[in-house]
Amino acid sequence: MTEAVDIPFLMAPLFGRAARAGGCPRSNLREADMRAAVLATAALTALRPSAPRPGPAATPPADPGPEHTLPQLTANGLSEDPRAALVDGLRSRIRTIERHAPRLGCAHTEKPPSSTPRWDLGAAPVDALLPKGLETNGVHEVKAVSYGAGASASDWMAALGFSLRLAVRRTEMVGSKSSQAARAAPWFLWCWPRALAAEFGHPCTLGLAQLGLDPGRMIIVETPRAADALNALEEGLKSSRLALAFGLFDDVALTAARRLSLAAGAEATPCLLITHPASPPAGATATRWRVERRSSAPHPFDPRAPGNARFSLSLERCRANPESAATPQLCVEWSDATRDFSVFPPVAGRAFDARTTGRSAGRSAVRAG
Amino acid sequence: MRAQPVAVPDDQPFALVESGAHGLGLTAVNTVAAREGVRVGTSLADARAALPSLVSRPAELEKDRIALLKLARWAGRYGPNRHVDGDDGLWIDITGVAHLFGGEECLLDDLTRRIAASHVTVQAGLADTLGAAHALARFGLGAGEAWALAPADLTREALAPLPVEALRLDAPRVLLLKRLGLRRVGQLYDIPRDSLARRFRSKDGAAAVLTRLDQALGQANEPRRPLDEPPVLSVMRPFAKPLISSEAIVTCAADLCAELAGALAAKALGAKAVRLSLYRADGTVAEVAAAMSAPCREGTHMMALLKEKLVNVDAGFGVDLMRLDCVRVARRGATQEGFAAAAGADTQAHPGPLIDRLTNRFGTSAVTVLEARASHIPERAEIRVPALQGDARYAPPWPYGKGPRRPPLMLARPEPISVVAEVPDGPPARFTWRRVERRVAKAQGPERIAPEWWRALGLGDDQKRPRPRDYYAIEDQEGAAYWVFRHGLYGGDDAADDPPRWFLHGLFA
Repeated sequence: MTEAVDIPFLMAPLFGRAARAGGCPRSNLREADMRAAVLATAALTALRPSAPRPGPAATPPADPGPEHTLPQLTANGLSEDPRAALVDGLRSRIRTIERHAPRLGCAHTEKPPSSTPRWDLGAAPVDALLPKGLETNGVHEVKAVSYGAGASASDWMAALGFSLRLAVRRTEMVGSKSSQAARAAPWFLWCWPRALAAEFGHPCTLGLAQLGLDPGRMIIVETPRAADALNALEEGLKSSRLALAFGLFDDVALTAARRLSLAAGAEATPCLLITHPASPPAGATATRWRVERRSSAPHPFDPRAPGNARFSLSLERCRANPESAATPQLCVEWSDATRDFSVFPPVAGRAFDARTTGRSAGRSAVRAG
Repeated sequence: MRAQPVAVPDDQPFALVESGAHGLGLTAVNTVAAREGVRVGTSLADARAALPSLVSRPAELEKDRIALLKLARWAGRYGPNRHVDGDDGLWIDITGVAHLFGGEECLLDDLTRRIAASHVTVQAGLADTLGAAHALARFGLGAGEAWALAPADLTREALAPLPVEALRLDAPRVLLLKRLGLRRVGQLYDIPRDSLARRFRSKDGAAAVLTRLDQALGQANEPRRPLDEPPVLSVMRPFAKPLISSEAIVTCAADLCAELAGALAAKALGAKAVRLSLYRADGTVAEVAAAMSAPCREGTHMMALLKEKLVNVDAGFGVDLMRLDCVRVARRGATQEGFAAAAGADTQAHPGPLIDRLTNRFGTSAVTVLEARASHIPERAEIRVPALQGDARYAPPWPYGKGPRRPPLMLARPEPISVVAEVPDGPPARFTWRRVERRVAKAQGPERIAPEWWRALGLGDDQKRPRPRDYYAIEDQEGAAYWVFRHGLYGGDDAADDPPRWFLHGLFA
């Protein structure tokens, strides 16, 4: 039931239908926008220190510059009324705004494009494989190392752990791009079919928060059918409100992957696709990583406790750098303090923990059993 | 009768029968039968004796009820507040609506004509109160009239000549009033209330009569529940010629959305839920609804949500009236509709439109967000709420966990594992989970989480008490990390008859 406060509106529309029909047509709104644009431009002009004052001493300007520079207001110097020149200048500004409406926000920030932060791992040897960093307008597939047909939950967790940490890096990147001091955390989307959710449980708030993601900003879509979850993922990528979208699926067909890739490119929202280790790789992805969990780094205070997470990575596919597939495995360690990866020598890692030397033999024995 | 409309001609006496305690009894008769003196309530045998040509069919009360509900839904075209009234009637609140039909008389004409066109006998009454309208519709009609109207503020006079049965009283009270010589409603007006109450044996009896009288005269409130949530705002559009093509329907729906958006903007409101009703020419209604997570006043967004469901609507014989109701609203101040809205990815903004679209397509329960709860038990510390209801826009940023380690994925139910530990109180050395044995290389813990003591307060002596848990973050030799706990303590009070058990609760990634 609506509250008592709402009752005065209850019948009003039915009473006042005829009156309202002509009340606020769309064209009026557009006019209001135009007025707002004129006012805003006037304010910008007044604040700009370099804008020459209209007056007899002003020099006649050179030919009009590029569209983004503010037009010289004293267009014809001595001969014309400065008021008319001002109006002309504002009009041309509005024309510029209308032509380039979507890019108004960045027209005045004058940020050189080179300063846009890269989304990468923070470990130089790995980042060297990625000429442009991880592309924000593409799909990145993360798979665990496959040991045959079966895959246990722990295999998935290696891929998921790497992906979650990439998402943390993405959060940092989005945060550094935003100039506002008090900014809100970016939003994430998490799509998976119910079958996977039944196997792995559900995202846990405190665990996500400890990794560095804001769990309150995670939209979780859990559908009975995998195709629905894929649709939801695609819809999310197209929405332009997300920093990143996760998709966990057993396998993604080529058509679906292609659709995801196009959707990711449309609004430059990256997608991390975590798929079954043994499934064929999804096509049309920007990168594909093969991840294996390594024994964790030694804990600084307790030698028996697990420390920072360590992964061994191989970049199986990279659209921007086709030769990357030939590179050997790289072992990286995630640092919770600095929130970046660093490379550690694989031998050193193994030598530290003597018990892991027999791990591959033990692993294959388990698989065979 | 509805299933076989041609089976019984209108000019034959006809009755619906239902088996009761005394054999088959009549539950409804048609006009011809009523003219011949057949009354509802008599047994079929008696009626047949008086009128041998009487045709009968078994009554299907459930179908009647559904048909009446459908009719009530259709009646929404005359006013959003309406519902079924008893077994054979419906009420419509037409406050502020009549002028749209050219006055109350025209509205009644239109209503009776449309219902009669679908071969339903209709009697309508219109008055200031529900009770008075009920009385007029059932007892206030003259011969050949389809409706009766009590002009505004003349309810008292309009009700005066009607019989006391019109007051919606049960049979014993009507009988008592008649024995007292009170046959008309008007006779009750002049009797002092106290003296009327004295005539009844019980206080309730008199109170019922007086309440019904007050309700009919508008001196007492009569709460009524409408069929749907009453809308806060609504816009509607009648069509001279029914719309059949889906393109035309979509276009008109978009116009209605734009109109509603304007109305919302004028009141500084935003829609949280809207409902579009399509009244078809054959007296049926199709409804599509959409809900928004954030107050919405963009006609295009509303339309985008409605359109996905609109494509499944069958226009039937054409739609002659469309109404868009705003069912729930929330305050929304004026916002600057700047150019920046289109300036590419805005990851800081609330993804309300996305949540709306996903919820619209996959259901409320499929799209969720996480919310914290005040509890230290891990599975009770959070809850998943539908993203549509979660007021995530104003949620404070999550405090980063400074406490002991928590896994990013937690199993819906802790799964039992079989554990071999070096010492009973220590972490596991080996454990088997999902039929795979894993050797533990590193372990951190225990982190003891005590049960919430207040949950044990109401328990009896024979009931199981909640037990403390010792959590460990363990890593197996392959590097996979798990969050396990031992439920109960060795050496505890109940350790002897129920030894502690191990569970796996979460997966570190």
